[in-house]
Amino acid sequence: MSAQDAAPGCSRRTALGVTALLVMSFFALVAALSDAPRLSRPITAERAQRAAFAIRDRVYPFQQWGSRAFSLPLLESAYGRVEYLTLRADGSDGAARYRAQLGALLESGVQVDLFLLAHSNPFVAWTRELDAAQRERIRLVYNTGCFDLRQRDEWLALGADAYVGHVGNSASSLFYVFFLRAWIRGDPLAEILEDSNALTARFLHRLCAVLGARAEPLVEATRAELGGAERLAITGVPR
Amino acid sequence: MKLFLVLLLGALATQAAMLDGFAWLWESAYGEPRALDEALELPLTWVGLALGGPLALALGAAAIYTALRRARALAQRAALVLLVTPSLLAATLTTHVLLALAGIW
Repeated sequence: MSAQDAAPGCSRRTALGVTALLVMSFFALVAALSDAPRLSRPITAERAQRAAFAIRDRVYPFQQWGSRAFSLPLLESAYGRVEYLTLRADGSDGAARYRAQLGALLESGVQVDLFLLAHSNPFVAWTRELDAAQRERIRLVYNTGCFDLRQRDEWLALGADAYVGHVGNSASSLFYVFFLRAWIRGDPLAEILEDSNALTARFLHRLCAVLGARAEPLVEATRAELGGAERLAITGVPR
Repeated sequence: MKLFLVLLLGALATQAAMLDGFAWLWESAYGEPRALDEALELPLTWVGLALGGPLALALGAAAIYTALRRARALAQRAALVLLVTPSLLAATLTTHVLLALAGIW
């Protein structure tokens, strides 16, 4: 026995084993509470051909910071160009900045995916004022806004290939955490929606069980639905 | 037991620093007017997550290892491990967030 092994407690090997087991069980718990680690990495192939534009509305500083801290690194890992806009307290120039940033991306000739991280929002009206030929390059529109599934037909008519929105007064930010991480890994939209809706529902059921609240109304309101190209993936529509 | 306390307090301090730092960060970045350069926002977020995640996790794990090695009675060991558990769980959650942002989880 070495001098180090003369400690009064467990042997070094037992202590190491128990510590490792505890840490691993904590990771397993986190995986069970959220989602399992993903084996695939964000898609980088041909990312120069696509751009993303994310916009956050005027909410609490914590939410604005959290949205950007989550979205920007993930979008940058899979898109050649990313624009991110946070609307400020004085929202007077919001529409102009929105059109300038989105217009510049569309003008560059690449396909643009939109991530509208905002409560029930007017972005569809702001986008209508852009040139029709430019709007044709809008590919995916994901909208976290409550009840904004109702904008589906408008967005598709404006030129978007696919639209994802939420049914009612939703916990869409939770869905978005699952959705974006799957989207940048190249899964097809319909499959992502099914998985993300299921993961969101599972999380909400557990949360409501802890809080003693009814989960079903919230799960139903948070459900995301899809319009347009169901097979669309970040790399395009497979032939 | 002095080492155990140092490690546990170290884990708690890094997590407190992360939370405090984040509160300062979002107020500086999104208060009116912005008081923090936009280019610094994400790097500082990564630093905070690394502090409250992997670093706190390492310190917490080291505290558990130390408790298991140094405490004589089984009940004493169990109590010390239990003391580290909340910090270790929070560090695991933060590490999960860090890995998710890095596109690994």
